[in-house]
Formats: sequence, structure tokens, C-alpha cells
Amino acid sequence: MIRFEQVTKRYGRHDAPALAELDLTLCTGELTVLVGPSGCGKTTTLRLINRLEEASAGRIIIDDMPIDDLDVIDLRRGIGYVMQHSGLFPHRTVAENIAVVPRLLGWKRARIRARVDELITLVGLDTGLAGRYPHQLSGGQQQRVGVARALAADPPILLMDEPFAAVDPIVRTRLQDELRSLQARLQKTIVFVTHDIDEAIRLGDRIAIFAEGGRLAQYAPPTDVLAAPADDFVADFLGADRDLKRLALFSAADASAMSPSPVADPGTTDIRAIAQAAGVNWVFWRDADGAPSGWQYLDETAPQAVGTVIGPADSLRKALGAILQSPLGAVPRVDAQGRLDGVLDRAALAAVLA
Amino acid sequence: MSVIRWDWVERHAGDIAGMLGQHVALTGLALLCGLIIAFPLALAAVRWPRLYSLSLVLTGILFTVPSLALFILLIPFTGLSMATSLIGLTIYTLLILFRNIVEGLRGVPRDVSEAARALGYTRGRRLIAVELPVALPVIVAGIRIAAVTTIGLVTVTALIGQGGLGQLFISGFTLHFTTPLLVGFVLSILLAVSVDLLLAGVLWWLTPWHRGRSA
Ligand SMILES: Nc1ncnc2c1ncn2[C@@H]1O[C@H](COP(=O)(O)OP(=O)(O)OP(=O)(O)O)[C@@H](O)[C@H]1O
Ligand SMILES: [Mg+2]
Repeated sequence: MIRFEQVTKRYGRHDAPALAELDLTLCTGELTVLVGPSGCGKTTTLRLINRLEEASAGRIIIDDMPIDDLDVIDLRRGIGYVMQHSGLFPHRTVAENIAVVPRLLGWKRARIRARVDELITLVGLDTGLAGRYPHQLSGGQQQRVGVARALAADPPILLMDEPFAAVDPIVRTRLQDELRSLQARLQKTIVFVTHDIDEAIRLGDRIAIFAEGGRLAQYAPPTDVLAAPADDFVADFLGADRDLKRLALFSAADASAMSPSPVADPGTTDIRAIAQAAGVNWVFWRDADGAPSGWQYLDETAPQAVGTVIGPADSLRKALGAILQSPLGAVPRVDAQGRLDGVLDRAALAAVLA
Repeated sequence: MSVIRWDWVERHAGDIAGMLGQHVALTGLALLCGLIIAFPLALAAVRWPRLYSLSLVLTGILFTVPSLALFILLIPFTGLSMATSLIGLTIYTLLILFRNIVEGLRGVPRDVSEAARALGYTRGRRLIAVELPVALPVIVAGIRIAAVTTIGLVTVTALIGQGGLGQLFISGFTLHFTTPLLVGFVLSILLAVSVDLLLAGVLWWLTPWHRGRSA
């Protein structure tokens, strides 16, 4: 647990504070995202944690220890740090860069070598890259090395300052996914800075939204922030497509399907009754295995191809896209076994957001 | 009549070797003293940028003093001695080395030294293990310029009774005899070129990470 107690940071004695009386508790094992417009104090907050900056007032406590009571070098060696432009040492190979902290800590050679190999695989790098120098790597590979270096001594805390901001959007999405699965396995306490609200929503267990002048505007899980922005600043920052972003956080399994859903099983003769019960003029057909096999208007004689099918793990944002494209304004949802278990329409999605 | 009298060269081979030796020694010593002095100054200048601008102005003025004049200015204090020549030469190497060490250290990317700090390097270790190696290409470039410049300047110190190969020029001029002039000329150029290549080789060997990059 990392606790900020009334922390203020001024760079110059007479400057406006970069951070103003911050009270914030970051939970162990969670990924907390600090997000906000440029200059609002995110980097400052991060750098206070490993004392790259010293607070002007207030204190920061890690696991009941005020960090001012710790030796600053020990503190830093126990906290991983990843920055936007990897900050890799240009004169060290990939393997040597990753080995930096273990070497500072005086690990045995064999142990370091084993750990480096393990990390190269963990962050998804090709082992053939171990002997390369940073300038021989792509931006995405450099960021992976940066992450591996930060994780090398297995620190419980990881600080990441816009680590994916300098890579192209496709690589960024992949690195985000990898970070999420890495975090699912490692359960580190991660503090992640970004100014990209979408990245914050994708990654954060909790997000802390900062406003100008280092004011903490809201601190909550992404779903809560999207559902109930604390003020106009947060609502603006989330953007006009806030509901779309929220939908992206729900999976299809979270929605209640139309009740009753207009679904016909093989051998059904009176599809009209089924459709009318649901208040529509069409039905989805299920085959003998329960899988969706097509759909049919009441006044037509043959079913049409089924089209997009939504799985239980698909996001509701994807479901909405499919609903908008369907002539019916509805999509079939299947369960994990691929059996059609209900039909989703706009009302079903609206009910989730309500 | 041939341009060069080889019999003269043969008769004076021992003297010439001695002069070459002195030339190398003076150059080497001046570089060494220059490095020893420039280094702490450069560290201080990196730490306090104001000091740097001030020292750039000072060194700039010093550099405009003609080399011979500088040596002559020193004579009242240290006479026609090795010390005079060494002090003068050291001042010149100092100017070049100081500037390059400072530029090299300032050229270390900010995120590299910040990363070193964040990963838990102590100040001293950060300097030795991260900042100096990264600055090395620029520093060695300075040493190369200083070395070649010094090799040329050493000949000037012949006029105050030192001078390594420069003594050959003196005797060539006073005797109206081209052979020593040519020998001195060729040897000092060969020396400069080989020292420059040697330093380039040392840099190449020390910085495998820098190979194949435009500097
Ligand atoms: N070393 C410094 N010296 C003086 N002022 C600073 C320093 N670092 C940051 N500041 C100021 O403190 C404020 C907060 O800066 P900070 O870097 O924490 O913002 P940020 O939220 O990380 O912004 P960005 O998204 O642009 O990285 C800014 O007004 C900035 O100008
Ligand atoms: Mg920042």
C-alpha cells in the first residue's frame, strides 16, 4: 500500500504547487492509473514515490514506513521504474540492461543470467536479441526491455510513466494487453501514468483523474468513474462517448437478453407466436445443437444467414456495433458452448448502463 | 643532388630518435596533465552551469593568445625549461579537453541519467558506470584533437629550447639545409596521424555499442 498524506510539491519556492495537498491510497496488487491533462502533476506524483523528487509538505508511506525513513538508494532498488523513452543504457546490451539492478544488488552471476533469460521470455522478447544494443531495437522492443529491466529484481512496486506513449497505436494496444496479462500473473502494485483516458480505462483497476494544479478530481474504478463522473471536469475529460467507453468495459454475459427472446427451435411450426411474445416480427433459429443457424421475418418462408454472433466474453461495445449493423437491430448471444442463449437489442444494452 | 641526404639521416639517427622520443613524451605528458586538470573542472562545470559559461569565455580568450606568445609570457617564471613548454602545452590541451568532457557529459541523454538515478545508482557509480561511458566518444574525440594539436605545438617549443622534432626545423633553417626540415616535417606528420589512428582504434575497441552509428 502506498499512501499519500497531504502531499504538496512546489518546484520553486514561489511557484504554484505542481501537486496540492494530495491524499491518495494506492492498493497493493492493483494497477492504479494516474491520468489527466498535461502538466497536472502525474509525473510529479510518480517521482515522489521513489524520491526522484522530494515532497515540499506532507508524507508518503509505503507499507506503514514513511519513505523519508528509508535509505533512498535501497528504496529505489526496490521499486521498478519504466519511462516513456525507455531510458535504456545505450552502452549496454539488452541482457546487461536487464541485469542492472540485480548487479547493483550484488547477485551471483549464474542467478543473474538465469533471471535475465526468464525475463526476456516473460516480456515476449526473442532470446536472440539479448546481445543487441538498444539502438538496434524497435521502439516496441525497447519498451519491453524497459519493462524487463524494471522487473528484474522482482520489486513489489512498479512505476510506469507513459511507457507506451512513444510507440505506434497497434504496438501500444499489444503492449497494453501484455501488461494486463503480466499483471494478472505477477500481482504487482503498479502506478501507471498516462494522459490517454482510453488507456487508463483499459488498464486500470482504479484510476485517479488529476485536474490542473495537481488537484485530484476523482479516484475510483473505471466503471464507477464512467457511470458517475465526480464533476464537470471529469465528465469533459471522459468525453462525449462516455457511454461507449462504459459499454467496452462490460462483457456480453453481463447483459440481460430480451425477455422473452424470439428464438425458435427445430420443428417449431408457429414462429408467429414466438415473435409476437417478444414484440417483434422476426425470430432467430437454433439448430439441434442449440447453435444459432439463421433468422427469419414472419412474412418470409426461408431463414437468412445468421450474421454476427456475440460470444459471452465479447464486449457490449462490440455487441452495439453488431446491433447497429443488423437489419433487425438485434444480435444473437451464445454461451461458452456456442448455444444461443438470448437475443440482445439496444434496450438490453441501455439497461446495463442505467 | 637528391632532396634528402640519407647519409646525414644515418649519422644522426640516434639524435632523431631522441627528439622523436621527447616529442612523444611532451605530448603524452601535456595530455595527461590536461586530463587530470580538465576532469574535475568539467565535473564542476556540469554541476554548476554558470561556471561553465564563465569558463567558456575565459578559455576562449586564452585560446586566442598566439602559442608562441604564451610560451614567451611564461619564460620569466619558469625560464627556458621543460616546465615552460609543458605548462604551455598543458594549457592548450586543457582548453580542448575541458570543453569536450563537458559537452560529452552534457550530451548524455537526460532519460539515461534519470533512469540510472531511478534504478538506484549512487552518484559516483552513475558517473563511472553510465555517464562517462556514454560520453566517451565525445571525450575521445577531444583527446584526438588535443593530441594532434599538441604534436604540432611541440615543434613551436623548439624556439624556447625544447621542442622534440621541432629542433630539426631550427637546425634546418640555421644551416640552410633541407634534409632535417624534411625529416622533421615527415616524422611529425607521421606521428600525428598514427596517434590519431591509435586513439580512434582505442575508442572503437572500448565502445562496441557505438560502432556502425553515425557519431
Ligand atoms: N523539474 C521541474 N522544475 C520546475 N517545474 C517543474 C519540474 N517538473 C515539473 N514541473 C512543473 O510541475 C507541473 C507538473 O508537472 P508534471 O511533469 O508532474 O506534469 P504531468 O502531469 O506529468 O504532465 P505531462 O502529461 O505533460 O507529462 C508542471 O506545471 C510543470 O511545469
Ligand atoms: Mg509527465
